[in-house]
Amino acid sequence: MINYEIVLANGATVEANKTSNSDLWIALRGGSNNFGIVTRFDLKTFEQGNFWGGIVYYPITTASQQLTAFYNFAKDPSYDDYSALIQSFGYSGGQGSAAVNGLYYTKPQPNPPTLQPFTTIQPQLASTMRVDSLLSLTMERGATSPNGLRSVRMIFCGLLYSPHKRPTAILIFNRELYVTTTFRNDLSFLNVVYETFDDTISKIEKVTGITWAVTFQPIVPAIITKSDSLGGNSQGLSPSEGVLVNALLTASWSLSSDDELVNKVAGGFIEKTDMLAQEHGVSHSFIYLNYANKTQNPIDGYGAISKAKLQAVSKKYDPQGVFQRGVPGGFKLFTR
Amino acid sequence: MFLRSLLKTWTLLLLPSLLSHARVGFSNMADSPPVNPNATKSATSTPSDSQSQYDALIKVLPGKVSLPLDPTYQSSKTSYFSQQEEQVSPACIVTPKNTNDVAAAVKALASLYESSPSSSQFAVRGGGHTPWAGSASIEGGAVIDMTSIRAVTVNADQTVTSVGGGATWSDVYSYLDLKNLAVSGGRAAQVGVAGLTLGGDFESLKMPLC
Repeated sequence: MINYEIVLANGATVEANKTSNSDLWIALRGGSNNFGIVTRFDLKTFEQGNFWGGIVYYPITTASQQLTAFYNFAKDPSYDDYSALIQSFGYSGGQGSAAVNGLYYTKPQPNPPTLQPFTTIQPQLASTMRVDSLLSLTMERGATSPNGLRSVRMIFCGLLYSPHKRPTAILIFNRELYVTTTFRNDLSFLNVVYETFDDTISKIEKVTGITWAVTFQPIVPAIITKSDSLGGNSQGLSPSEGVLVNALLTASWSLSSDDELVNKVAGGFIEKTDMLAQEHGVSHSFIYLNYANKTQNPIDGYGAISKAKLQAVSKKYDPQGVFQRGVPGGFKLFTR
Repeated sequence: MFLRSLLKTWTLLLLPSLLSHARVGFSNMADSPPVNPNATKSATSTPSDSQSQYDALIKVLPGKVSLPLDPTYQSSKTSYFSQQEEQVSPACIVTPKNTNDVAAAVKALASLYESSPSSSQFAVRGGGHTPWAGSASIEGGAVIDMTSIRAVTVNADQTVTSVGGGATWSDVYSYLDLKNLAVSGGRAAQVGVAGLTLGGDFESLKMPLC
């Protein structure tokens, strides 16, 4: 991110970049909606043609092999930063469980060595791996989240279309939950987390319309180092911390009458994982803001130093606290 | 997040179960107000007392502030990711078209907030993908819906892409793909640029910079 154009609480429009309002520029990365409304993002751009990527589906019985491959991929000190991995295990009401890997290698090179530990796991239920465009691969990825029900709604529109009316929307919304935690990369602990997740399935399997999944993604030092070289972040992450694993629990379900149960089981999974992480000596405070549930505190998870810096930037650019108390949505810097 | 891909593959098998389980409301903007079985308030046909405090805002941004029965309001309200967020009913929705509009909205809403802090908070909405209710909407308050500000351009030497604050990654990639260019960004196309970036994304497709 080279520059933000941002509207501040007093209505002024300013630029925030490395040389101008640089404290605001750093604060915005991870600082969310706490400083103003960003009206334009200026992003560094580079050449990129088609590249290799897609999604592979496996039976849930491959879980242990998946976790071993994940652990080794994440801990590799010569991490190939053309590669990306999103590993999920999930249950869908009426369909059962599966393991799913999103694999990406940003060169038009099929099946590079770094990702073969995943592509060689057998058996496989299906695979969409191919060389394709960034747009196509991200559209596919987007369709895997329930908002991708929009594409299904188009089909519904076709089925229910009545010639003398113009249907403009068929409103199908599922109830959604994201809740997250982070811990250090450790093979035996990854297995513990998977078992903990597996134990939750019997508690929610009868929920109407349920999809229930845990997703692991590595946060490797190379990513943090790169971010630091480009100006840093406000999230309190340092390459010296070693490899971290972000875990996201997602739930999607139909009826508000199941809210209490779903929230309870999801929250319980995170609490148990955090407790076990302490016991195993692998805990970490980072909570990725975009995966955090309303009850979580990603700002505190950045650590005291980062939080203090963010608060200082808020007082400088928004002394009346308009984006603290006037805009209560999101995760605030002072009111928790 | 992941098994919906199975849904995509076996859509025809799943359609009956989705129809029976899903809350379906059939909306036709041309005729009557939408029937939303989840609605907890009935919409009124005239601005209520709580909405009259927005007169100054409406004056500053004529044609860009919509109320519950307006199509613009309904279209915005029903375009969130989660049912929980879709069920939140703001008093009005502001749809700025450019930076000046955003500045005018912020100025008006900030001064409204400062004069009556307990009754006039507001929210900012980008991609609308955060699941929990109230993250990018607000019951009885004003929502600044950024989704009209989504233009994507690249500079002459193709080193910098400028993206409107309300854009999604699909806006960015569909523009850049044609030029064989990319930026380091989200992997799910319908997610907003603002939330992902400002949330400190670690999970974008990290393409090494040349």
